[in-house]
Amino acid sequence: MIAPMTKVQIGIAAPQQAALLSWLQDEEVIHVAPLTGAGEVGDTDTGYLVARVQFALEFISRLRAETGATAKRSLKNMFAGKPIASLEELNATLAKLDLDTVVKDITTASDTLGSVVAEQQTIRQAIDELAPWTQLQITGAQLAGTDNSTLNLVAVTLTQEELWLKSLKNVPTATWQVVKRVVTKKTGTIYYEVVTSRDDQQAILKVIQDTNAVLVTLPVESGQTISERSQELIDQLTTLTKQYASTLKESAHFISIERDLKLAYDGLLHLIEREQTDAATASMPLSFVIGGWVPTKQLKSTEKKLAKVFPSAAMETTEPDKDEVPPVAFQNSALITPFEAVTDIFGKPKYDELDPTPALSLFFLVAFGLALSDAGYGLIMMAATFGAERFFNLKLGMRKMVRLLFYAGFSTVILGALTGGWFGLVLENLPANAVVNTLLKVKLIDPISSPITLLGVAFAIGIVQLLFAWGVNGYDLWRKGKKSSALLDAAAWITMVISILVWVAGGQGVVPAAVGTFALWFMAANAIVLIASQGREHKNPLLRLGSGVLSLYGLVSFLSDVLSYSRLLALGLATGIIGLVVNLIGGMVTEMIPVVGVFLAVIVLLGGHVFNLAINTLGAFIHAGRLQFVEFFPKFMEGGGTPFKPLGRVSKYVDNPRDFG
Amino acid sequence: MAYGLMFALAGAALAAALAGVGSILGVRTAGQASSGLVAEDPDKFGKVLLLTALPGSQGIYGFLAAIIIANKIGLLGGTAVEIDIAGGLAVLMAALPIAITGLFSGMYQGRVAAAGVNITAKKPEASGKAVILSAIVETYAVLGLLVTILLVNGLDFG
Repeated sequence: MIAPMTKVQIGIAAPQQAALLSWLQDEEVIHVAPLTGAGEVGDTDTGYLVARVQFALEFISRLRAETGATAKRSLKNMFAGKPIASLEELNATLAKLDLDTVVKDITTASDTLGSVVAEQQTIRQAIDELAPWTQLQITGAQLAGTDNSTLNLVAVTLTQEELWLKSLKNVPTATWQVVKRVVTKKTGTIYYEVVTSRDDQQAILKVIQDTNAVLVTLPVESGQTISERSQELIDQLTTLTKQYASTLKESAHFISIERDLKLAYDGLLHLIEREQTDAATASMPLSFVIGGWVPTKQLKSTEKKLAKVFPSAAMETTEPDKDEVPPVAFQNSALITPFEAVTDIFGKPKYDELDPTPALSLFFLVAFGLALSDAGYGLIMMAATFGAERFFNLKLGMRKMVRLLFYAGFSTVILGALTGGWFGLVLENLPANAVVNTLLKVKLIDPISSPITLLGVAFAIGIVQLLFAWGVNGYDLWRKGKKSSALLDAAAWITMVISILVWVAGGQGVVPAAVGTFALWFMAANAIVLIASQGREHKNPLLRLGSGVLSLYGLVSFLSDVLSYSRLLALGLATGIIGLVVNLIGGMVTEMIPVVGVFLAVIVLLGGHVFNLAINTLGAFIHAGRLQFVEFFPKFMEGGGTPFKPLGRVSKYVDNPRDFG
Repeated sequence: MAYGLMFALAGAALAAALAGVGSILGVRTAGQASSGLVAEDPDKFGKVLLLTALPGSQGIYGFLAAIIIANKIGLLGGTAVEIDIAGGLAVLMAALPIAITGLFSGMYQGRVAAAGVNITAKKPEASGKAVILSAIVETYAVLGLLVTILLVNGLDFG
């Protein structure tokens, strides 16, 4: 059912404002509703601090990666890798840690490393630049040329080399030599040293320009050769690498405060949450009031706890505004709770609608079981989900899903056994023994040899669920006091469909012909009632009659909804046949390949069945869900309620211990 | 007689190939969108993997239909049944529903899934809804498969 909500206001003396908010946040009971005349809260620095802590944490995880200090995680905590801390611990960490200094230190370390990396980059570039020329035994002074001659270092591309040489020959005083050729199959660069008289320098520059060559200037001091300069740079690079390593080592101690920083980060997130809540409350000079929704079930206990922790606080229930809509939370028995995961995919119903979860639970299971329809796979699912719940630390949300899959596995075992699905084996072909005989006895329908029978079963499930949907709708309308609507819009449709079914059954000789004939008359009378009533919102009698007649079209949409259930047969057949094919390939491998064939067959069987189980569990879940959302829900609910979202824990790096229950 | 077998094989081949192509195109479209999201936020990989894999089912349905046909005409173990041209054409026709619905629903489911990646990016908690929306396109491939299975099952080659 949908949890009833009560609107409350809590008031307290102003100095205790922060403590109260923190307490409420830890309790997670109140969905804050803005008060009229609520105060404005300006921007705070918390957001900026959060960004800086985030930066520090990113730096630490980089440190971790570069120093090889990876975090270890036990198997039990495979799905719960984050540290667990109460809100109290988070706040204590925030108070204890001098965040500003720590973040500043980390930023400094990060800057140091960053500048070393940038310097390394510059030096590497310079070394690359020098590399082609190191064979030239000339100094920086010689590179500048003499009074009468110039020395040019030029990089020419392979495609331009021919033109380059031809043009050079036209410069009378030019002499040149190739310093280095770096050539691959199609592209390449040739490095030339060209000496010429100063008078011809302009001509050389012209050639360089015409051939798209590059005139290179090297950063070499006058007294030193190119190779000496290169060596000097390489030495500098080594020093820098050492410096990088030592800075990294010096920073390594930051890793030890990672946990504290994570706690502080989440503590700040909670602080932001509280600051935002402030905007929705009323702060007066001496007192502070917060308003919101509390699940009625928790009202008493919350009141008691509040009185204990804050003796001076006052809590009272208030009347909601006229157009104010309460938030929606589910409140179901432990057996039904896992199915809330299905409803939540669709979204919350409105506050005054029915919770569809109990209604869909059984149908979802049957649809899932029929769509997977392999008892062997069902057993695996049950074992896996049971093990997951037993051996892993799971969050509440995940535990819901795991439990749901456990139920779904159980349903699959039942429906799989009824349709004779056991890992895609053909029971009839197995050597007869007690087990096989029992399984054969349980098997009622063979999907592959008599799919039409199973199709009938799928349709029957559809008809039952859709009639049930109208029943739910009728109950909902009756409950709200719309009794005539319950009779005319829900009950009349149920009797209409049933009378059609009985009439058809009479024609087939399933029920006595007299009953069939009676059903026909009943159907006609029922149709007249529908035609007369379905247009009742119209004043114009012609329009009223017209829309009454048109409403019978509802039978067509009922039919198309029922046909949608045929997917259950198709998905069930898909599981069975893929399993069959996997076994077939396994058998072929064993027969065709001697000795190792058996091992290959094991791989084929394992891989194949795991694949089949995975894709068909996914398909069964999605399509069983879809039948609820598209075919079932619209008959009695609209959805679109606001989810109950209490002022509570927000977590990025830290988990709430209560999430593990 | 050989032509009969040829037509039947054409049916199996079309079912596997066209539905497979549908899945290829669909998974590509969804995969591209997913890569975009994963580049920004690698943590969402699990969620978008599901969306990317969804248009892959048509290929499996086509594969399934091909196996059923191969089994029907006795190519998987046992001796091949004798099929006349009319019989072969009948098998070919029976294969068309999954071949055609598989091709188109795969392509278009991919687009819905890619749009669903958008939902996952902006509202991760609503990604279940994206999966359901995408599955609605798949309905028609499921129905196509059902028709093909029923039709092939109804044929009798003695």
